[in-house]
Amino acid sequence: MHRLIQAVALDHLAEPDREQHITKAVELMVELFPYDTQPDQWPQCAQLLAHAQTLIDHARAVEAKRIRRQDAGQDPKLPRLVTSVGIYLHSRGLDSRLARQMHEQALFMYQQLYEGDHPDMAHCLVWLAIDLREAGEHERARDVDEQALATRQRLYRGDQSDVAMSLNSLAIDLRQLGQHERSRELAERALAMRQRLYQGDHRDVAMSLNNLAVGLRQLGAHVRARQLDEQALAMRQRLYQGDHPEVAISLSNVAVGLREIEEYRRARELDEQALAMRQRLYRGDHRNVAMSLNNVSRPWRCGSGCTNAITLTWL
Amino acid sequence: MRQRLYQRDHPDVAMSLNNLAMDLRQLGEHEGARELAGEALVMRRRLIDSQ
Repeated sequence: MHRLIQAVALDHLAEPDREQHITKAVELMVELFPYDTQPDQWPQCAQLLAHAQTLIDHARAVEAKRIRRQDAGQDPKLPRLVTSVGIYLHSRGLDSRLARQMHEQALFMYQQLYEGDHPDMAHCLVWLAIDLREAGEHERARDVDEQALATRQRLYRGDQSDVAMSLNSLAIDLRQLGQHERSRELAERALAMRQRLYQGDHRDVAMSLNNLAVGLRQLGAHVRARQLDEQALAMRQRLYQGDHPEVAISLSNVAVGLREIEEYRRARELDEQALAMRQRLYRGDHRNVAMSLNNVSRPWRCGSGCTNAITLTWL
Repeated sequence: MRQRLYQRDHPDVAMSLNNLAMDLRQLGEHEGARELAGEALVMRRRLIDSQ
């Protein structure tokens, strides 16, 4: 157990108010668990995962009691934590079905919490759309992405990073549904907006270059697609040192272009690099992840500093 | 889930195996191509089963 959570839990043991403890633990866990997780944060997430999942179960039980009591004051931190855990499960390829369930749960909680638009709810919608897309439910993904885009356009005026992200995401859905021209239009708008927002190299610009290239290739604009893929790869290699899922995607995409012009040797080199990178990335410390998931049902004991072996069964 | 974790399966790894198989086929390395394509197929089956 993380020492901060332990400390809070121990502080409150004299006055065993479970609901209060759980709310406090959720507050801490939201701070500890990365929101939009990147590969360098995966070890941290792996360590926290089992704790976060158990905590979510307890916190949901508390929320259910509050709803039964018709007690206002639901906890906005809980859906944020549930969203974060879902993002990690998805990003690391651990369990996409569970990731989707978590995003659906978080969305339901947000709907109880907020009557109008809220940035966190839109963020959750975007991730739900990603889960749906992966499951092949492209029409639902499009509907969800449209809802997120509309929300964000009401929340923000003009160029804004989340609006650009939603435009890009919707472009992917439309492409999957065969609406290539409309998809391309949105992908171009997203790229232009991001280029106005960011000078030089930026993760989101690379994402847009990547996405537009895929769309252009499907429309037969192979030369421009290859140029954009190469730009995206170069940008990502400058942005990320070492292994990164987005660099691997770009290596694969440049290889697609090289196959088109029958440069199979060069394509092979890049595909070998992408494969090796992905094997290293998704090897990770899976043993630790598996162990931490295995530990969920076990009660937690405080460290050697305690004189009494206190079992914090709620965490 | 544990099975999947230990086998180190991931949809992107399966895709990379398949892409590399395509390159090898074009370069006339049919044996290697078959091996990689087979590995990709088995991994994709495991991924579907684990869902």
